[in-house]
Amino acid sequence: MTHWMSVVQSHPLFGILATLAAYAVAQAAWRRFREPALLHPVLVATALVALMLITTGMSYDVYFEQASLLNEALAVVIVLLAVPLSRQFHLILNAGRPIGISLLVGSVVAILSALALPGVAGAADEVLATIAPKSTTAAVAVEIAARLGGVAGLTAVVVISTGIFGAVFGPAILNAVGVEDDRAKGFALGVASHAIGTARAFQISDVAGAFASLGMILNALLTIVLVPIAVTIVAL
Amino acid sequence: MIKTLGLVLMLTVAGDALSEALNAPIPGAALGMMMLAAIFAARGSADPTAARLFDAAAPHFPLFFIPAAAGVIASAELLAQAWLHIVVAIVLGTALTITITGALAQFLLSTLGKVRTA
Repeated sequence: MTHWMSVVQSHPLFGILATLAAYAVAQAAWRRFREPALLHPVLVATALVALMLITTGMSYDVYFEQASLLNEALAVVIVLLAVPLSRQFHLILNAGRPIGISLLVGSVVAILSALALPGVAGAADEVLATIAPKSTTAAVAVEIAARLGGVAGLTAVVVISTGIFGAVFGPAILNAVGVEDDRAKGFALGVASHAIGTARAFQISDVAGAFASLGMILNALLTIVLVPIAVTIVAL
Repeated sequence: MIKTLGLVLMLTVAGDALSEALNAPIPGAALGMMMLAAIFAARGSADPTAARLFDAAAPHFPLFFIPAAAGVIASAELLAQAWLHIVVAIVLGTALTITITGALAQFLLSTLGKVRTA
């Protein structure tokens, strides 16, 4: 490696710069191809950063240290989720009971269906903690996984893949099982596939989108409480 | 803007402190979010400056978890060991969650809704 390159790579802002660059490229590509779920910018940007680390031989720890400000900002972003939550207060007041019950059941199914196979197979606690919060919005899932001894990087990729799967196949699944109510469609997409499912729900209708946002946010809150309990029980 | 940003940062730090003090299994940021939501609920709606802050940041939320997601290259070993669990969780788990949540929500929204209007 030439001297100037090592100066660039060891610069304390390099991590943020590289992340921004990867994200900008990924987003431009995504828009160019008319925003297909499979080319989700997070997936592409993550691949670009990983490729950069592998080709330059830079260690992940050094990169993460340099990009830590972005990671710290995650916590602020989570606090700000109070804004979309407050926008849905009227939905909660109007349809509180059906929403509350569907949320509780959906959230439990999301967590237990993720833990069923590794639980039966006796996988390590690390694996359980990594997969359990998969239906929650990535910002929250990463926090939950890290707290319980999971691998946050893998959790992020699992969460994004879950969102993509739900967005691509969710509407067809809902049609196949006879769900026609846009409120129910949106809520299911939000609970199971967080922000990526919510973006898909807004393409169905505004009502579906509003219920999806609500499902996403409420599931994030409930998952925070349920995952530690579920992982403890399954790990026994 | 500065006041609102200050409030949000303060709640983020307060949430972490509270989570630590209570030894709660809930991440501090989630506690901070609940406190902010409680403030908004008390005043009836979201503070407009906070709403603008959120709307400006929301389209770029993915940016903030790329550093964590890139950590997947450091977990190749775990991925090799658990890939089947992961694929099953994503495909079957998500399909099951969508089916049950959607069907239940449709049923409850129509029956409980009818009860109320009757």
